[in-house]
Amino acid sequence: MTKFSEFKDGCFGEIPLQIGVFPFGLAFGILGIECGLSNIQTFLLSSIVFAGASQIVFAQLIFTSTPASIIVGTVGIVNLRHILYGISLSGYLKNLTLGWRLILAYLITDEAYAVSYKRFSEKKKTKNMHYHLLGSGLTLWTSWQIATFLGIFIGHFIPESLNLEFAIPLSFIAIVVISIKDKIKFSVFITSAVLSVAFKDLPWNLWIIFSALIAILFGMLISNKIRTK
Amino acid sequence: MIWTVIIFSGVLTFCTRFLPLSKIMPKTLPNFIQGGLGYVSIAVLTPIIINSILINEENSIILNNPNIFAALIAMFVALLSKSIVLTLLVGLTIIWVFEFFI
Repeated sequence: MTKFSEFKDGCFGEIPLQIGVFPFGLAFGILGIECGLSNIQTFLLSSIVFAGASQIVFAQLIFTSTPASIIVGTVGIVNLRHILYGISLSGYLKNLTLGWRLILAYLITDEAYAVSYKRFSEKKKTKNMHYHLLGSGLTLWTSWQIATFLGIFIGHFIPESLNLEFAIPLSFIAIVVISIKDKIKFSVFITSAVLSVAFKDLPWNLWIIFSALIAILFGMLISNKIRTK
Repeated sequence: MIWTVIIFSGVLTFCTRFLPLSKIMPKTLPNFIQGGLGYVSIAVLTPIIINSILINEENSIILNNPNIFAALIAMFVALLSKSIVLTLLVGLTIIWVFEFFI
């Protein structure tokens, strides 16, 4: 496979996923402005952070005047899952130059990982295969920037009664429900749901961090119990 | 001020992406840590879902709102279809029906 054909496969593999990504990016653009971020802050969040769920959280926490350290901490926790993607990709990318690894790391997202990991693991390893991730990553990146941009500007014209921001919890519902594949994950879900209601009055929006961390630890504990049985 | 938070969030997010590809991190993590990372999405997104459907701007729980109904149907659609797009369409349609017809 030539560099170009790997790149092209990555791009085309990524395009169908944009049906879900694009509305989400639009919703983020709208939400960013509603939460009091400026046009340019909302737009640049999409390239500086470039991670949907954490950008949503960022905007909501800014809106409720959360201390900076808690915003950064919450964003960090939301994005911890990238470590898993990196670990499973590192076997395929570890021999690349530092420059390549920096660029490809920046482009790792749920959707690009999904598409390119499939190619890495299912097809033959070749010396050009990293171009696949470059293609899928850049496709997602471009569509995310355009969607954010449109969200910022059409957001001013879309009537509030359409409730387009509701696309955000709906996307999250779909992601969560689809990833609950076993009893442990189900119990992590229930724990996190119950705790978030219990912790809702904690200061500085600590409910996200606390419910998430305790639910993760709970999941680790029970999976350890099951393993040692 | 906001810019500083944006930059720090960006740097930290980049670290979560680059660390495993850098040569400083061990190639494999202990099983229970890998397992824990696998629960991050569910553990983090669930509170955000609950907060945006159950809790109003005064931070009190509201149980009679169309969002809950739409969210429950959306969960059901996601469970059956495994499709984000279909979940979005059905969920938004329910909200619009409530908004414009009921």
